[in-house]
Amino acid sequence: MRIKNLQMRAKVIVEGFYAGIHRSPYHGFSVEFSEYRQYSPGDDLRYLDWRLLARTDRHYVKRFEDETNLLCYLLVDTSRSMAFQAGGVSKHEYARTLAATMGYFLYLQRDAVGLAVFDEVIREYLPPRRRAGHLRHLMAALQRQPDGMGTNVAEPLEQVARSVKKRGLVVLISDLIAPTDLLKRQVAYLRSRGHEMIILRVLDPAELAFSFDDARIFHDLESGKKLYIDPDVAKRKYLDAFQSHAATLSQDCKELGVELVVCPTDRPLELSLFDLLRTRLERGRTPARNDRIARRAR
Amino acid sequence: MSVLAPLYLLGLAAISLPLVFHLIRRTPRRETQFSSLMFLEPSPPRITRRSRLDNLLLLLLRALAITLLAVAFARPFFRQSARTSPSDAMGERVAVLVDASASMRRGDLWRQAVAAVDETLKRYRPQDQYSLYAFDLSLRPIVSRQDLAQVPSAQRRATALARLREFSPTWAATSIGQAMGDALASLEGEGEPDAQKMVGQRRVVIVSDLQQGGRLSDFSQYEWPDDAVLELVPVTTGASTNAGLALLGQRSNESEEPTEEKLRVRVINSTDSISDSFRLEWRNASGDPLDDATDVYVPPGESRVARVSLPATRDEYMQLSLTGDDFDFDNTVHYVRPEVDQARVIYSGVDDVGDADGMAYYVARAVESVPLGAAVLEQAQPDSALLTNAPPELVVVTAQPTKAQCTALRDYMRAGGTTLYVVQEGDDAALGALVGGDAIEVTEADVDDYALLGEIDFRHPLFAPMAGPQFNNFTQIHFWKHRQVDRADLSDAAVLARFDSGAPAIIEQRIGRGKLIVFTSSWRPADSQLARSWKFLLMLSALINQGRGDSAFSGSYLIGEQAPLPNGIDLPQDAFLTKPDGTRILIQSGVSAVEDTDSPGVYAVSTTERPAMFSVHVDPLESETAPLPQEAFEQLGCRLAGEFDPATANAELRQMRDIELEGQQKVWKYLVAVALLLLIVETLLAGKLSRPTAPQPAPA
Repeated sequence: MRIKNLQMRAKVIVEGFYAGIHRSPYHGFSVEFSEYRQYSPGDDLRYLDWRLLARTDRHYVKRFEDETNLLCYLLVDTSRSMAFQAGGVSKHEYARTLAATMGYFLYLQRDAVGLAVFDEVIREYLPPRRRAGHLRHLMAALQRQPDGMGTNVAEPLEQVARSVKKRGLVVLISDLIAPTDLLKRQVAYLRSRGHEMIILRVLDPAELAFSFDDARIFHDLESGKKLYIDPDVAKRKYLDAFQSHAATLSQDCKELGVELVVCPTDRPLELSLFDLLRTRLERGRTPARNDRIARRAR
Repeated sequence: MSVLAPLYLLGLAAISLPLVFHLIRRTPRRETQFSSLMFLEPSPPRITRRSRLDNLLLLLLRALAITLLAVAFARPFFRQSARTSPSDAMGERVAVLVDASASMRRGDLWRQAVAAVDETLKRYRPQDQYSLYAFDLSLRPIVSRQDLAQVPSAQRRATALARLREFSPTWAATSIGQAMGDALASLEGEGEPDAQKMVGQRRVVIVSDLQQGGRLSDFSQYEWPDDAVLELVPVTTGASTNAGLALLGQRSNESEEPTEEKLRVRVINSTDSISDSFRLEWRNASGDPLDDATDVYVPPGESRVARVSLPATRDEYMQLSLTGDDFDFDNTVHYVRPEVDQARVIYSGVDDVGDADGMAYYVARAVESVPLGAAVLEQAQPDSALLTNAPPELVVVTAQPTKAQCTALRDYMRAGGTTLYVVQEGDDAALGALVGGDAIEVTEADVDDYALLGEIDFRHPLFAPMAGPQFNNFTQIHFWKHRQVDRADLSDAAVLARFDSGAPAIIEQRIGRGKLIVFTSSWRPADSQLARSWKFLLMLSALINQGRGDSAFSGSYLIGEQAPLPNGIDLPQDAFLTKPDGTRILIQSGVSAVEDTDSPGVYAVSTTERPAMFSVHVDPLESETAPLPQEAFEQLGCRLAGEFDPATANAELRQMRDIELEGQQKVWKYLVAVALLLLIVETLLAGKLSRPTAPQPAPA
């Protein structure tokens, strides 16, 4: 029932998304030539341009846009902090809806979608598949309630990096309320293996604005620690620290070429997705490709 | 209404506590789950302007309880009489002590003291009771509290001052300590009819030069009471030098005997002196210089012993004066040339004085060793009349006396003389005659090798000089021969020493006022080693001096000391003491000591022969005139206070009245009771308010 709900929600969102979008990231199954590159020993000889060799007596390898269907890994954080909700929807609910939507969307594109659900360690792992029934497995895995403790993004990322052989798109869905240095190292490692990476940072509006009125005991969902906090006193420092952390994250992502999209849970999910896709399009690899995409979108 | 301890009212500040607690935001019990506290810091509870004062009634109850407690601790009371007047104040008991010792003769110290007393008495109120004392070695009232009680209060000061002006400093030494102790005792007021009124503070005021030689330490036997204060009013002479003289070797309690023609004096220079060079010069009785002066150098705070040659003149009495300091009250010592009172020792024996194997030889040596050549030996022939002239101090008999000699010796001994008799074998009859009875058997003892002295009575004057453990070893004196006396025939005889065999060696028999000392062995070298020992000299000296009998009398005393009259000297019926200023004081019969030694100089006691003279001096401690620091009094536990201030006394009285009123009213008890009641009400109310209210049924 709930799986169906999730799937239905993803479907609704994707369809709505399709309806509202004018430029589609869908670029088909075809193999499109992208560029030439000088052959270097070890390259697959299948891609050697024999004609060019015959004509110019030079060895060039053809590189193709989307040589194959996209391999996408959805990494969903289910740590306790994701259970926070100040009102409306919890971060976890938002995150798994996001993951389900992306999974559904990519499934429709016949891309292979994998899933890793983690807190401190990976709790659930589904390798990228495109076969029938995989989507259902995916939804079932996403359906599980969070029961972990702290967020340790670095460890799951390292596990993913070890287990994934094929390059692909890694989508990390987390609140990333964790120290940035380890995270940066693992993201850098993934990037160095050739993966593309997108981080969807799911945050509650209360976390962004610290919009609490009166003093109360704050109970840390991850560590269980309790603190008496008077928002009037603590808000300024909190916002400073939070923004400083966000700025560091943003800077790190920028350095590593990772897209970071902040998704507040009070924001319609399709808008978040739209933002993601738009930034990806704007950040196309080559001007030619951008043109092509732009043309197709028109 | 007033309070006794107003500082406790500061406790009212504690009212702010409930106010603050009411204003502080309650720590919420509500918990909010939050994703992570990573960016948060704990914030302390704070007071906010937005906070409202909840439960005003509780707050009021709490504040009121605290107020009541604070006021209760402040010990409130209701003043009944409006104000206290100065005349209500309790009178102080004051003893004003004026130093009248010899050191107060310096400069204008006495005048200053009188002025200081005047100033001090001015401050006292009619209800204060004071008495005025003079002190040196002892405390003497100038005018007592009881005397002044007879006088109208307006005239008390004038009366006291008039009496004081009749006084002048004495020559006596100071004992501040003793005076303080006596003054405190006099202020206790025991046994007085108005003792119950004397509840005020005791105050001892000392007007003095507070000199270091003032024997403050005499106070150490007392304890300073809690209800007494000491006020010091020092008088000073300004920068000056004072040095003093003390005669050595002439005091009866000094072991050293003057043996040479040089007199030893100690020059004492006070700590606060500013010069250090002095001169000593001899003057005759009328004050004229006799000889060249002697220079003495004594740094301030030190003393030096100077040996001064006696002048060539044979004056009986001289003065030695010190010059070079600013005050001369202690600059003169009076020297009475000691009479060369030659003791006579009569020796009756057959041996020659030049014969070292005989006994006379050793007796002559012993007599010569008596200090100052004070003894002479007269040898009498065995058959001659022994006692022709004045009675000698000692008669030594070594040969058997004749009957006539025995009679003469017995008379001599009855009159107080001492006879040393060396008994020989066959002296039975002579010994019996001397003792005054039948013949006493004397036999030669059978000595194996040698005999030693044992069982010596060291308390007897004969052996007393050798009583010390370093002197009392007689084992090196061997006796080869000795006689045995049948002691049963000697009634009342004391054995002063025995031989180790138990036989008596020296026997003393009292005869009349005198005594017979019987040696059963001689000091002839053939008989014993006694004469070869220094102990023999001491024994003979002791016998000679004992015969003199005036050892208590010496040539020099201090002011205030008792001068014992010479023993053995017959005072005439109307004996009198002539003081230095020429006044004569009759000496009562039976009196053994002269007490009127109140001024320095030479005193003479008339005797049947020529007068016995002695000198009296100022106590050398009086020369230590540097002022005592106040700390010296504090170290003895004295509670020093400033000048008497009537305003302070009034304030103290008011305080005491307040304490009394508060003690009677005990308002604090009621306040504490009400506070407790309020706290109970508060507890009940707080419990009721914290209980959740039951939900009201919704109206239909």
